[in-house]
Amino acid sequence: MDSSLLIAALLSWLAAAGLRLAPDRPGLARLVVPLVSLGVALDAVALADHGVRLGQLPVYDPASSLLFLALLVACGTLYAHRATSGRGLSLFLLPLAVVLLAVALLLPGEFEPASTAEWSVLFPLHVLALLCGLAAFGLSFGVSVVYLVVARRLKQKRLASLGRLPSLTVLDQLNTRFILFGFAALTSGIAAGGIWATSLTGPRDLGATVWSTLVVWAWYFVAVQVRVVGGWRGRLAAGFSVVGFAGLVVGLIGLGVAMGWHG
Amino acid sequence: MIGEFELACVGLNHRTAPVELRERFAVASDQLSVHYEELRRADVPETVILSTCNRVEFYALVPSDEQRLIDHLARWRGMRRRQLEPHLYRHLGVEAVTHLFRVASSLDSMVLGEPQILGQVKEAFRGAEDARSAGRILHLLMRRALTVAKRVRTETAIGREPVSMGRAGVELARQVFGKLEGRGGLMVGAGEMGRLVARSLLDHGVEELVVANRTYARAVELAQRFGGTAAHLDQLERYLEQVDIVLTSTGSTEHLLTRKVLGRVMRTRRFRPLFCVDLSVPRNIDPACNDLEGAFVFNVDDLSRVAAQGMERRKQEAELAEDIVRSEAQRCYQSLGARSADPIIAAMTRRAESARVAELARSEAVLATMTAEQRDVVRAMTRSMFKRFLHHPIQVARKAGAYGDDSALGVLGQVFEGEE
Repeated sequence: MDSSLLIAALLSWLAAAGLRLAPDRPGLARLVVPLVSLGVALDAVALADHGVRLGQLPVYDPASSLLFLALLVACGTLYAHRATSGRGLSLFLLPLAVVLLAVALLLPGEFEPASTAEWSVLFPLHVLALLCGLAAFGLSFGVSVVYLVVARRLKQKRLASLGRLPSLTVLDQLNTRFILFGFAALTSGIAAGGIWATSLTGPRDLGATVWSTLVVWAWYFVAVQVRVVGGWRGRLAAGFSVVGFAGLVVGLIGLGVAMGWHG
Repeated sequence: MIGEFELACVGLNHRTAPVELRERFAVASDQLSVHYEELRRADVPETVILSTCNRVEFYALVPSDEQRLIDHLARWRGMRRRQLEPHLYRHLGVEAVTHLFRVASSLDSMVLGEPQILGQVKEAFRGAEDARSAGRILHLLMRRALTVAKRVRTETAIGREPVSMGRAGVELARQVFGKLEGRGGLMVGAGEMGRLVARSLLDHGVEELVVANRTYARAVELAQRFGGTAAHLDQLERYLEQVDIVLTSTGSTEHLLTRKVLGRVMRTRRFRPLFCVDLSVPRNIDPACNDLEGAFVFNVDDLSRVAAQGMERRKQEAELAEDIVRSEAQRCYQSLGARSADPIIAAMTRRAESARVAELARSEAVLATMTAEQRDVVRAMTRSMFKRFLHHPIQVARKAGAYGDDSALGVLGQVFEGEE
């Protein structure tokens, strides 16, 4: 993979996130979208190049899937930036894309193409949907953290330069959208993976990763119920997202390291 | 100097003159043309008058100094110059440009960064243009002033922070709800501060206002004034479940909203945010209500603090804005000065063109032997030669104008404007 492109993408995202730490200047804020977009374009080019070399979708090896996740998170950041009229979310969301990209850069660069003999359209759908779900939950985590920060500052009457962050209502709406999108993607991914695996080998015992994915699904199912059906808002709803994503990351890393990735 | 003239500004404002004097010198819009006409007769070719509640200012191109403008003002209101002059400020040249840019950018306003002044400057400019009193120079100057003011608004946060209690309430509500359009408010009591904040919230998008008061007739009266609904105090809990914003401003010495009541309300609301501003002293909302999930309670001190922070922030931004204004004023004054070379440049071009035409006429016999295309080529070539030849002298003339180099302009004038 072309690491120079990825380093350039990393730097442009870092710069975009860092701009929010600079003094509040509309001129500087206008640079956020071009910088994030530049990073997205560079990451996309590197991924496309990698995909062409492998002759398959560049999402099956760990490095590519992390790069794809980073790309999704950066796109989500652009969406959030637009939805909040550019109010400071990039500082909280882009670090996730930066970490994903940095980890991808540290991983060994060359991978053999995955064997596609038994694949149907369901397997790529399974992988892509799960990655989309992960990205959406990551974004919802970031948005929830901002929600908790803003709510805390309002409660404590720490009001200086609060206007640089989005309002609670906007954050809550954004969080709901990310959660709903993530939940829909996760459900589709699990369904596609389940059907594909069953079609190959028939019903079989579920591994620990599958069980933990189902736990995550159940958690977000409750989160969706609380938000959409129960109509609950505020810190409770944000807390659901934060705990859910933290658990998801810890679980994935723990299981990945301890047991290897399923499949 | 801009050619034979100088740019001058004479005026009085809230800092130099008491309101009695300011109202005496305020220029009504139907009186503007009279002033413009009189000043034209006094050899002041271009004038723009800016008259607002805080200032009356005359920007003009004057033959030497600003004395004519002061004489005009004194004569107009029948005052002696001696009486008037202590209340006036006067600026010449680049100082006048800087002052106009500061005024348009709201750096000279009573409330730093207030947005109305830009519209007032625009209005003054339009009035002068209608009366044909803003000529080439003031037209350029005013256009530039509007651009600089917009640049200051875009590149600094001078107008962004709230500096009044009303705006502070609006900004805090926006931090909770984002846009206030479609939000409902409940005003409990009829205190002056409550009415002020309620008006601000309504001006910024809040659509419905319920007014509750111990005296129902007073609630009805206020509701009519704000275009809202009147309610009895005992209906408070019902309305608290529906609205998004609560303002309390009563003389009650007890908490009208206790933690127990609001806790019940918040559960019914499923913790949908409720923004409360308690403007009463003693307070009407139990401060412990702020601990409830979804309830955000602010008091009069919080709003004052937000307004004070806003003013402090505007002052910091003003320093940046002053830098922009200074550099823009310098550049603008130079470009206005460069315009004083326009007559010389026009003479250069005229003389070159007449020479070109004369030479072509002398060669008419030779040109007649050529084809139409060849003649066009020769004409284009001569035009291009003169243009190239004049490029450098024109640059020198512009530079001399920009830096007020009268001797260079004089020499160029003698060379090109004299008789052949």
